[in-house]
Amino acid sequence: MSTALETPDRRTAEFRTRHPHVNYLNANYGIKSWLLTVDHKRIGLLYLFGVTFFFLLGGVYAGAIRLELMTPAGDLVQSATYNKLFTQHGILMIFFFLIPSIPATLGNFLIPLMIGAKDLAFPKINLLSWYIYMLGAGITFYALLTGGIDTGWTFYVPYSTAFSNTYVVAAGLGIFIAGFSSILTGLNFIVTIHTMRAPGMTWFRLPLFVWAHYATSLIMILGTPVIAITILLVALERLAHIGLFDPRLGGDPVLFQHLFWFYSHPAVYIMILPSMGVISEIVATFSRKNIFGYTFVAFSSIAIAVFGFLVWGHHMFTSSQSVYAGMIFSIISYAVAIPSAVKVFNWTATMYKGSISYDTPMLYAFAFIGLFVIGGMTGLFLAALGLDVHVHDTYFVVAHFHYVMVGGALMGYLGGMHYWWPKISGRMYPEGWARFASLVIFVGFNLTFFPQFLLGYMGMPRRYHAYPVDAPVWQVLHVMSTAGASVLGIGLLIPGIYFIWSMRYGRFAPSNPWPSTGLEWRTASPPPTENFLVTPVVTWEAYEFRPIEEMRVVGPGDAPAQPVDGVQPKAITET
Amino acid sequence: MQLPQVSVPFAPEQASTFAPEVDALYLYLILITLFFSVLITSLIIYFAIKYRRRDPDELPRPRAGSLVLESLWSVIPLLISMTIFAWGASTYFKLYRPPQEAMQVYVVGKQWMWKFQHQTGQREINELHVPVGARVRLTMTTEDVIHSLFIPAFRLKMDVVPGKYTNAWFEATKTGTFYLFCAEYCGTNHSGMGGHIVVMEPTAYQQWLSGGTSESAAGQGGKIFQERGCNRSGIPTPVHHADLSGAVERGANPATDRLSPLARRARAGRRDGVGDGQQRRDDHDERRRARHTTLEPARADATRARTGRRRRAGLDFAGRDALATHGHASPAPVVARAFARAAVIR
Ligand code: HEM
Ligand SMILES: [Cu+2]
Ligand SMILES: [Cu+2]
Repeated sequence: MSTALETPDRRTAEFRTRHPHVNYLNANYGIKSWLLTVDHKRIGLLYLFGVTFFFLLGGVYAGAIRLELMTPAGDLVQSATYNKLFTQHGILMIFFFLIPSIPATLGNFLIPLMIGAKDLAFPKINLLSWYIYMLGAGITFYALLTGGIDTGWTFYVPYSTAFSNTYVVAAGLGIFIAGFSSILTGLNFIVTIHTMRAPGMTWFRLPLFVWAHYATSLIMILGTPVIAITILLVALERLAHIGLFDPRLGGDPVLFQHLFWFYSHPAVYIMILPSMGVISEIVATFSRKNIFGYTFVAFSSIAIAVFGFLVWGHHMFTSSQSVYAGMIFSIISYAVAIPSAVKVFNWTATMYKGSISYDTPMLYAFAFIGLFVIGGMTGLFLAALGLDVHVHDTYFVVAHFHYVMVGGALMGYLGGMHYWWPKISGRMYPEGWARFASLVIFVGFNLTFFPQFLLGYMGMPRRYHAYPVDAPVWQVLHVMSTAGASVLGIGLLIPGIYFIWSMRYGRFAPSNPWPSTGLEWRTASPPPTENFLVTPVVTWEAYEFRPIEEMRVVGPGDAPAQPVDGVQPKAITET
Repeated sequence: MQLPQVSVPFAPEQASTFAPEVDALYLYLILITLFFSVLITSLIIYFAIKYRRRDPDELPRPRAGSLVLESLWSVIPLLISMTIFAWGASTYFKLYRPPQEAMQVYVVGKQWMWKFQHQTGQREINELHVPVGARVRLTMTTEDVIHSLFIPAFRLKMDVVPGKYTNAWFEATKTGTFYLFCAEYCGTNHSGMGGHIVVMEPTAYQQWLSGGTSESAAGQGGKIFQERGCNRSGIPTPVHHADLSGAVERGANPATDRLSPLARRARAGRRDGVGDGQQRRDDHDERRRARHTTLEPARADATRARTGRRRRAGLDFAGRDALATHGHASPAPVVARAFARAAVIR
């Protein structure tokens, strides 16, 4: 893949002596070199910039929600404002942060590196997908700033089509547009993984991160069109009263819920699968072991992607859907939980007789596993029909999905950011601060969301601006939750600060700091624009740890590795 | 299956026949979750300590997978989850299969209040009186958006969906006052759309029905419904129950109320103009909304005419009207009514 850059051939020895550290970051400068880049690594960083912005904004909304709920009375903001706060929090976090977070940043950055390719299959489409994302996010952002939206991130009709006086169509348009960026990214990943693997990189030598992204991409390209058409129909219904969802016009409001969840349940796996991929990498590296049951972990991702499309009705157990349909959705929901459980068991088994270090990424992996077990198990509570009737639409559900989405997806994202930060930036982050922050985040997270399980079972409905005064325990739990949210918020700011700090002051990162086995660690940190100066030939299995001296010398990819102490590295073979 | 009586901490009171069963299932799940999370967490902590890296260059031996282990940890969780499924499904069937023999209560949700009507004609807003130990069947719909009737103490929840009727039922096992919420987000005042359910001894309930003073009705009868905006407490605590005077005046009593739908309509017609507090409030509400109408005049007029006719016939309680007339077959009048409501809001 040719890049648009007019750079001399970097492979010549002469060039390298004059520019000792040419990499994708310093290959050229200027805003244009970023906005017109077709380098997947730079595009990954562009995405990082976008998702971080929307994460911060979503976090501000969350803070306001938690402050309001400290007291039972709705006294901080008006009801209408409160409804906008949780709606906008949900929309930003789900559509503009969690869905693109890992795939579009880490996935974009790493997939070509991991499979030994120079770039994604369609670099220009990759750049286009970022622009589409920014356009969609911009439109939604504009709608939020100018009027806001109050339908909940679920857009239930007929409230969204006939009753809400807020900017439903505009906000929906942004999500609709951003969906195309998801589809393009998914397409790009699938084609890349199929066609651009380096010689010797067979399917079963792929890192599990790549398998997870392959499964995620399947969901993206098959699921996203459904949410796109659903949003389009909501807009048409709202503007032209076409009568699909409105019973007064012969429509059916429950139909909307089927369409919405047909995408939105698989979408929760768009959020968690990439994170699971990250955890597989981290657990292997910091246990120095091959992942136990590699094929089971790989295929469990595919199983999740497939079964994930068959369980949408578990969001609708009280919706007046037929009780028999409810039973089918319930039983398949249990089936889809099994592959997730298989992953957890395999990660645990990987640690058995490993060589475990407590570097920050591993701390996040520990947190992920523990919290995901609770999040996933409470999914089983919710899939139990008779029990869901009680806890549906209460804080129990809120706690469940925050355990999987923050405790799971976000922990994986943070773990991944730390793990690959040396590769991305060429610098090490401060380890002490990072461990401290991960602890703060873990404590803050649990303090925020655990009380919400209790609140939910006690009957506190979700999306409530105010709650009964005569239930003092509720307020106690809400205050705990708000306190936790403050701790969590501070914890999340710390990495933001030291990552930026480390870009200038961090220690220089070696090409393989941990050390690890993936191809991405066998090129320089940060990698050159074309990733590998010579096409790598893969002769080892996934997570095949070689003697450490050997591992330390396999990179960097900009020079064929030299034998050290008589150990001939097999990692990179000249082609 | 006879279940042991369990009570779990941080749970609402158990006030219906479902409550102990749902709590038992909840407890079962908690135990399973405890088992697996303690298992995984302790294994991780144990491995992390036992196999911590002691030498920066150490390299453990790679391990092959194990088909036996993989099968075990797929099949055992699957079997366990099937027991959860079966239990959950059987509870669900009980919850959503109302018995034939039951006291009927009609429920209509609207932004942002719950309207209840007893078989005997009494109407209430945001408060529902029921006798303890009786099966109560709720037939529910909505005038506008989707809402969801949620009674935590009964472990019961059911959406009300425009254009159709949904059912739920319960049998209260304990007298007292319990929360009632709207659980499906329905717009600005969603969190104000709640109140109480008052479970009474059968005799007290009879007294209440006939308009006598029961301890609970006495304190609250006739209070004007408070819109949430002016209720600082959050939940409308002293929930008004509908002004019963209208119903009483109409001479509602169980005997006469078992009239055929036609006869009832006729009787209601004769009572034209009696009106009651609720109707006045409804009318006021209707007018308030009509002011914001964006419809072309003809449509709005037709809308008003339609509701007007209904009003004159004293049939402002759409759900009941529709049910009385059509049983479960056709929700048409409710739809028309909901249309009338919704159309003027847009
Ligand atoms: C492991 C198996 C899982 C099962 C069996 C499961 C089950 C469920 C069920 C039944 C509900 C509906 C609850 C209700 O509304 O009453 C639900 C809600 C939800 N779950 Fe899960 N879940 C699982 C994993 C996940 C994961 C991995 C994620 C995301 C990363 C997730 C995200 C969500 C979200 C966002 C909702 C709430 C949607 C809303 O109503 O706003 N779940 N889950
Ligand atoms: Cu789901
Ligand atoms: Cu509501």
